[in-house]
Amino acid sequence: MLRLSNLRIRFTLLYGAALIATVLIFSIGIYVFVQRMLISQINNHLHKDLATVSGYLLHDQAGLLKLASMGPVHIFRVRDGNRDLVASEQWKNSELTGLLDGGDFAAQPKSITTPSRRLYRVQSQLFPLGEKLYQVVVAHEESNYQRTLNTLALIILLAFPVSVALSLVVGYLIAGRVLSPITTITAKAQEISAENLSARLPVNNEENEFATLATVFNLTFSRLEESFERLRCFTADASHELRTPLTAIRSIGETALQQQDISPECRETIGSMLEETDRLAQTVESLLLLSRADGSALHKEPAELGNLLADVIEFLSVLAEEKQQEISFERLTSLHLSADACMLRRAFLNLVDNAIKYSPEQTTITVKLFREADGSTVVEVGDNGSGIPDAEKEKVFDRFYRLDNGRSREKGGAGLGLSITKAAIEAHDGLVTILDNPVGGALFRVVFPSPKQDS
Amino acid sequence: MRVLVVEDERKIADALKRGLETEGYEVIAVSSGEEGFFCLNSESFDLMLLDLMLPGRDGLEVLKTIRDKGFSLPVLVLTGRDTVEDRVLGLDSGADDYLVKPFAFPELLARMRLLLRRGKHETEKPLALADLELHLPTHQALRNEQLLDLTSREFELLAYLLKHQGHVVSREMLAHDVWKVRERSTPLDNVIDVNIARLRRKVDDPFPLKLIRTIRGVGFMATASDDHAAT
Repeated sequence: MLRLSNLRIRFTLLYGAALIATVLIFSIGIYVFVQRMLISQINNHLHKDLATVSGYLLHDQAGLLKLASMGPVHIFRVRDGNRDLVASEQWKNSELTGLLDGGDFAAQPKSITTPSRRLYRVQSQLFPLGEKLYQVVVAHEESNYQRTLNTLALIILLAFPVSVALSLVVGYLIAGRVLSPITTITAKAQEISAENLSARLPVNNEENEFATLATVFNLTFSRLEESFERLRCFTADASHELRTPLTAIRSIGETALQQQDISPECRETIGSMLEETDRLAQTVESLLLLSRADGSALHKEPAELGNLLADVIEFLSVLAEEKQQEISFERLTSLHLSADACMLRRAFLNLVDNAIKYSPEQTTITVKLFREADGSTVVEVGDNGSGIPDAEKEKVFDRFYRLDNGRSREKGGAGLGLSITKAAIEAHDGLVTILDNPVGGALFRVVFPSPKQDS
Repeated sequence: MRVLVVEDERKIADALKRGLETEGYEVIAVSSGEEGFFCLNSESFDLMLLDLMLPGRDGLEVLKTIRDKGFSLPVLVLTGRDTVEDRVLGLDSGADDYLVKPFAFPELLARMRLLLRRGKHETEKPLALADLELHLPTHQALRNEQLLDLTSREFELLAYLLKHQGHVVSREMLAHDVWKVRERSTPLDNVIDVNIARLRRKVDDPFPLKLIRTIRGVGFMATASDDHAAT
């Protein structure tokens, strides 16, 4: 689930970044375009003004005075050598006098800032007329245009974060919508693998990627279910196939022992064969038990872990007594769970039995039932044996695995005990690990996570 | 006592026939449900041993037909399938008892004795063997008029052995009936062995006549006689 929401955030960010880039390019484009348009507009004005003023200068010098006082050209000056011939009222107010007294200084339009920080766009032109050289300067205040541009920039700057925020929100929602079938499929798939393999993911009729994904999942489930079913059948068949000859061997041996007329040697031989048959039968039973735990074919009913442990300890106490060992049981909490009591009992029976078996005489075996801060329930079974090397800690749970050092067949069992423990505990959503007992020996730790929904 | 054995595995059927005959039963063994049904109709039997996995008609079907026809003889079902569903199904179909393969022969004998005794009021025999006496209400065990110091588990174990005195008691029987555990396991076997050893120390060690005997590969037996083969 965590990975999925990561994916969602990544989608959102990617989407946001793309949108930000687009908006940015678009905004800059508009800004530059408007700026250019405004400037060319001013330039046109200047051009026309220049033509008007020069027209009066060349043909109607008296008209220039009228122009200077009434317009339509507002800011201009005509110089005759070093002397102002005509200057409009607004020119006189414009602080431009003195800034533009040079020769032909602005044949192309240019922007000028006055000392009081007013912005003008000016253009000048020289007109030789007879002996005289007239300089005509026209100007337009650029501040108005600049204000328009500033407003545009402000609008862009204000709209930008809003649109980014909006895009992130929309992106997040869209990503969620797009990913929601995955969440559904994941949850459903989890349910299927945990509970029953016969259920299938819903496949809607739309031809999209998710439908394909669900179909692929369903195919996998089918195959999984099939192989589970085959395994179950195999187990049932194998159990019957193995039990029948075992029954025959047993019945034949046991009825033979009933006869009066057999020699003690023969009795001994048959007895020995029967013992091995019994061991074989127990191994078969253990394998069946394992397959039952693996296949989750459990008969669960309410049980209390503390009682179960107390039973196990009471049951095995006689073995500890034989070795003058003590079993200390610290029962600090309780855990009510739905359990296959038979299977779970077997799991702890094996752990405590091992602890007794591998602890020397006159030592104490500790069994502790307590709750961790995170709500999980822990059972720890500590012995005083020689411990289990780190390299072996995982392997001891393997089927038919045996430690070399002294944990030998002579002490009984077929090397299935701990794998039964592991399978049984995992079938109850628990986890078993091996630690080193602080006082020496091995410490088996069984953790049942805190129940989530059902209490 | 006449026993009808319906079992298709010839070797098992032969062993059952032989073993039961040694015990003094008269045994007819057949290998299919049809034959079994035919035998039931033509002769009279005191008990039937029925294998559930049969060729042709399934054992459960045979069982139902027998009950439908009104035969009330006790039926002990033998099966290789061991799940709770199977047990319930078997008992619902009219079986009186249930034994899972590979079963121990002494257990089969014990269950047969129980089924044959059912309904007949038998005077409860006092639990005693040679100079050993058990008082069930007070949980006291006396040997040679000396009180034995037994734990309650040891007492139950001894009582069980005495109830089946002269017959072998298998580990399975002890597991089911004394420890009330259905599944066998190595720890369980060890617990049984330790308890038997302790019982011997208390009951037999101080006295010349040993009463608790181990029958190798089969189980244990309480007997005062020196006869090996009694079961």
